[in-house]
Amino acid sequence: MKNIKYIKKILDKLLISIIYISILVFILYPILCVFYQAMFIDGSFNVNVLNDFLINDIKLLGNSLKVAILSTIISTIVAISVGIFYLVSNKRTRKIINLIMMLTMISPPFVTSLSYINLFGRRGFITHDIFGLTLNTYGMWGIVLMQSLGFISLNCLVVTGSLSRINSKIIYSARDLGADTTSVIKDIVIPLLRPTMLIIALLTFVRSLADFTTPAIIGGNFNTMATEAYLSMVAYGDITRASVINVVLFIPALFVFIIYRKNIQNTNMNEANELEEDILSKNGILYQIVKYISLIFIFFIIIQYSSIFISAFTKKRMGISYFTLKNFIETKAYISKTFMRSIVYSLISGICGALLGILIGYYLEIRKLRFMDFIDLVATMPYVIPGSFFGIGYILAFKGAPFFLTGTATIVVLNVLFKQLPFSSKIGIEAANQISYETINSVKDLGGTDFDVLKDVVLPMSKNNLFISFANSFTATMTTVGSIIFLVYPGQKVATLVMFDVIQSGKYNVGSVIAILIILITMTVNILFYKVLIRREVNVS
Amino acid sequence: MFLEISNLTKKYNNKTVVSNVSFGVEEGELLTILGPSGCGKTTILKALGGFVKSDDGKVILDGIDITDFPAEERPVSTVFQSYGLFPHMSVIDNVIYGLKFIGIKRKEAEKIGIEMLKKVHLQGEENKRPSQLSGGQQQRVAVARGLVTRPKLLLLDEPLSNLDAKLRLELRSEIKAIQREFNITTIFVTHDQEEAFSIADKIMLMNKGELIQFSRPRELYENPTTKFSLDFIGSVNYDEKNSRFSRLEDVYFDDKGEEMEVLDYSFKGQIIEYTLLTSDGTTIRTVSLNRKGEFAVGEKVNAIVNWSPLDKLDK
Ligand SMILES: Nc1ncnc2c1ncn2[C@@H]1O[C@H](COP(=O)(O)OP(=O)(O)O)[C@@H](O)[C@H]1O
Ligand SMILES: [Mg+2]
Repeated sequence: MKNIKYIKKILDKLLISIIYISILVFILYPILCVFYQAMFIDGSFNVNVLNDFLINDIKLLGNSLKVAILSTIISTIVAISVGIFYLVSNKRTRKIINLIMMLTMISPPFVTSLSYINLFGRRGFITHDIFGLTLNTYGMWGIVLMQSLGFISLNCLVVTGSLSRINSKIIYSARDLGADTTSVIKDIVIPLLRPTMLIIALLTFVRSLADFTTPAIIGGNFNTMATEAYLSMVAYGDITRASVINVVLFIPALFVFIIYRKNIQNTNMNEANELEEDILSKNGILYQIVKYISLIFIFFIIIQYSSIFISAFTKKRMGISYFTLKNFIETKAYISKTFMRSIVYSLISGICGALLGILIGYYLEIRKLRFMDFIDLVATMPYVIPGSFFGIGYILAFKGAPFFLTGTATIVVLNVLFKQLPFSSKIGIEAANQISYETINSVKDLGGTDFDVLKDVVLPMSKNNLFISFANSFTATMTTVGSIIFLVYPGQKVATLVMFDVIQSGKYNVGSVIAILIILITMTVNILFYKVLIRREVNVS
Repeated sequence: MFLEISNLTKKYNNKTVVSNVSFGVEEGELLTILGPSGCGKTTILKALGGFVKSDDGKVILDGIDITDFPAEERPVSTVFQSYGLFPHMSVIDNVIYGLKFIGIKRKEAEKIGIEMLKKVHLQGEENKRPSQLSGGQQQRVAVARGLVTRPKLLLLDEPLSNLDAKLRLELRSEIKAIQREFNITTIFVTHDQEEAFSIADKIMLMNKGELIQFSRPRELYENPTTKFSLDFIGSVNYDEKNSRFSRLEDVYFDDKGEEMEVLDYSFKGQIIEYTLLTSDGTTIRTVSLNRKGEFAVGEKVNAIVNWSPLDKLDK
């Protein structure tokens, strides 16, 4: 008996060490490495490259800021509008909006750019085939529009999440006192959404700054800091310059991170409920405005996915499109083994991420271990730091002894795992908070150790959260590109990277096919897990 | 009738949750809707407030048919169980919110609001946020906010259920006092019969979406018209063999009475509850004030029972 207790104690300590060490080594250390690379040369402090960049390439900073500000404004306004439209809508419309949000969440980030090329590019359906134009539509506004379109769904998800935390009686009360739909939106809904608005605006701003794929695909001559960092790496192999640019990008990210952490604690106070239907009547000027904004957004999304679908199933011969499966056959050459690799990486990242997330939740919320706050803080950082920053950090951190991970599959898997950790740890913390102290104390009362609490209470009671966490990380890894693009060696590409490559080399039909395949895989996995969840819930009740 | 509801019916997914309910309330009267959880009380209030569309029925308030009016156009105020206070506004802004829709300027509105807050004993709290107030104070803000626009009808949905027992009693009499002072027609929903009895002018008893009995509190207790009324309100002894019933207070110890055996007793402070067994094997419960000597279990006692026939009740 004593022996078993002793072993359990050791296991507990072992788990704690794994968490502490892994988060410090795989998140904090790479971040520090980028700073070191950017600001030290041969071991001594030297900011010449940084100065150089700030003096000569200040225009890039301007470009980045312009794009980021515009994308932030557009996607925040549209997301809030769609959220409010969702609130006023009936079940069927809400289902459609949910479906759209889900679809964009499981798509690789640059399907928007791909469809933009399909529609408005030099040989686009609309510009070229319908209007007979050969326009140069590449440039800033294309980037802004496509980035916004890509961010809206994610933001909208946050908005509907916040809306479901508003007690419907608040809205009923306002109406009761004579407020029509416009007044309710203006006086109640928007003020209550203010913290959410701040969060989505800040996150969008940082994501836009960090996004190099959209400008790389449809930017034309318009360069941003993120593309410059990307080019420095892949075209010139200049890791110092790439680090410097990423350090500059890191500053706003850090700022946002601080505000985010503060704000996240202020929100989330109420429980989420399913939004009641018919809570507001469908009239008034503000309703009309959000309705039309939402309809335009939905229209864009439909066009976007249709164009990808069409481009996957057609080819052009002498300017005329015809139906074919050739694109699929052609794609085969690009994706041998690639998809399997993507799926395996995603599975590992999903499973390990979910477990690690629950462990963080347990040790932070239930055991309240020392330094765990700091560990959680570090674990949340990948949420805001640019993907390429994180990727460069990995190259710098793990190339030498004792790791020697350069070019291995391990470095890629570790990278995606820790990049997605903020989602998993958030879900893990939520799971841990659902468990009451009475339950935990009962285990101890009956002679259980801390390890038994973890094994017999926390893990089994968090099963649903584990599933959600898994599906999240799986999807995120299947669709990621930013952080791993520098880590993957040519022979070991994953699906998103191949898609990025073929689009850059102009094989848009193949890109569309890969996009569809990625969407199908993530959709299948999500639906499977959703089904498992539903079945479990039915069994329980 | 000041408020007249006729044939109100509401279905959710083909499940009837309020079934053909008709009733009326006189001006200045307080009606309590009483019934078990899920019987449709909130649904009726929502239909009156304009938050759900009824499938059938008519609502006439002060001579005006408001059946198809949206919530914002009805002269009706609701105080919700969770109060529904605006968390981002101060107490005073909460209270005067409704005034801006009837065209009252802010300065004037604030004056009215402060007066109103005095009436509910909240002077000095006007600049706090709702979250800084206690549950009882939040409740008062909600009532003040509802009354400030001088609605023709005040609806209260289990307004006291989130408060602890002592506060509940206190606020109950405050609500009654305010209701009298404003002479406002009020519907007060509760599932607590004691609350209903102590506050209501009339009680409407409901079960499974149907109106069971509508009467003055005393009449409801003394002359239940249905088996459900009898069962739901107070406690009752049944004598199935002879198809009759008695209330606990209809049983009293008397030497002239029938001989019975004490099966059980439980001490409840002011009163003691006895379970008795008659010679023909019926068990009967009764209460007596904790005044004279108690009877022990197994002791023989004499008691008189005033029975009433069951067959005059519906169902
Ligand atoms: N929005 C809704 N959709 C479906 N069923 C509902 C809805 N609201 C209430 N119900 C059902 O209607 C019945 C009456 O509910 P309610 O009026 O809230 O009861 P009470 O207030 O008396 O507890 C319940 O069975 C409840 O489940
Ligand atoms: Mg209710």
